[in-house]
Amino acid sequence: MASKRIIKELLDLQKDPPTSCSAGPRSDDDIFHWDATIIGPSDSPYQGGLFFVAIHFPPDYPFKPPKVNFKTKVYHPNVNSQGSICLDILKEQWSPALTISKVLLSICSLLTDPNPDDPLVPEIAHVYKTDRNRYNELAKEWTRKYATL
Amino acid sequence: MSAPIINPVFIVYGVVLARAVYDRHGARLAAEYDALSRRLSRFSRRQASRMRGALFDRRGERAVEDALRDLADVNGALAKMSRELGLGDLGGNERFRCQLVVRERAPSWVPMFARRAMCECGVDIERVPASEVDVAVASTSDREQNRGGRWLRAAYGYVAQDGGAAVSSVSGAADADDGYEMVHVIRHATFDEFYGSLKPLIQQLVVDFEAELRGAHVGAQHSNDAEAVAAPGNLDEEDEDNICSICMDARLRVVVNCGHAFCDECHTRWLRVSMTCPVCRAALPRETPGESDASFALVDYDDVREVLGHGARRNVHEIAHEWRQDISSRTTEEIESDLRHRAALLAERIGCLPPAAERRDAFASLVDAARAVAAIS
Repeated sequence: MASKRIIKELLDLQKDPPTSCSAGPRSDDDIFHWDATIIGPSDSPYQGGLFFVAIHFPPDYPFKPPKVNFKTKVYHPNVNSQGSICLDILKEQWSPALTISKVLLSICSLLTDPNPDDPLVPEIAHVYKTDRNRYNELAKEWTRKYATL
Repeated sequence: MSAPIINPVFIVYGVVLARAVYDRHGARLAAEYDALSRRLSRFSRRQASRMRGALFDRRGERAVEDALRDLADVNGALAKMSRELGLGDLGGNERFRCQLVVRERAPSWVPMFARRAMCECGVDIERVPASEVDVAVASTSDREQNRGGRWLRAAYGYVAQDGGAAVSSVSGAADADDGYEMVHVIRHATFDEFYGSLKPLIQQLVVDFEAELRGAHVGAQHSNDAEAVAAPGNLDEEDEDNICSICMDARLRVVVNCGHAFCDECHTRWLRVSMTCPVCRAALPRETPGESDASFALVDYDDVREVLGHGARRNVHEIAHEWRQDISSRTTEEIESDLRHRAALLAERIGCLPPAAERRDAFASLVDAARAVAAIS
């Protein structure tokens, strides 16, 4: 069932691709591992960046959330140096009615609106809360350094 | 010279004893209070109260018979499905059978009107040898004493397969030589669970089985034509509203209380993960004793309308029409494997009900507690 639904999602993505991201299987013979790219939202310090994301579907998808990790370094309160993302819908708020394209859109909006009250990296959250300009600068710098082709 | 009637020592002793008892049984008392208030709040539910009241009213004999007739229908369906589709094929040539059970939870001093609210009606689902045939309604009911509470078990008649019209009304666990020793009560469903989801699912399975497999022989030679009609064009796109949002594949069959619909399999599987609606995150009622069922199987228009109420988001006629369309364009093998799959899901759903033994009788535990206290003092 999982692979059937993943294929459906892939077809939907190809039929109606979202504007700010793209996703697809890493190789043809493994439908459970996907690579995705997210274009940095224009109203955020990540503008102009291209972020690579790895998606791993569990065998009991969609009853369990997919594992989504940034492969590109991101300066963000909810993304740590391993690329783990602290996002409720990827954990306890997962719903089987969500799709990968919705998840990627949520990650886009997380880039625009970080959630410093539930941080994965407390230092970045602190900077974000106390010195927004510095946060913007650092995020821009990291984007230029790591997320520009 | 005369000792004071109320000796302070006794008061202190009493307080200490009461405290000790409360400490020991406080959790139980709280659980009991919860169960009681839940039961009372549910008392207003139309169907439940009608059935519940009927079992204790003289005038209500008919409703008992109705319930028994429904059970007989369901049992007939279960027997047929286990023969034809391997429903509940439990290995040892056994199958499921439902039995009406009324448990009077109140102690004898509780007045009649309150007693009604506290009684628990339900359906025990048992494993019986596959050869037994269920017959229609036995009109009598007998009381049997049971540990902790009074059980009112509706007598249920059944005869051996070759017994024909000879209906023997066999009462409960009284006789040992009628196969009853082989009966295992495995699961227990409340009335709401039974009427809300089990019965519709079972009946829908039977109706589909008969309609589809009977129609399949006629439809076999037309199947090519049917495919030619059904396949072309943008069927997929039009269909999008009618497919399950979880597997994005199967047709909607179960409507949950917030009005969203899913297919059987996804609904059953998701309930094991979470008790919220996948679409709107509304809480789905638990499928546990004393709570109403989380879902309603779609059987006919009235059922759907009742569930969706005025909050309906979809045209129910359309859904029903889609389903019928769906049925008409498949091959016999597909139909049969689908039916078998649904039968397996149904068996799984029955398996998800709590075991009969786990339905705790809170009053019985209170009685135990009282006995324990008596033993201490």
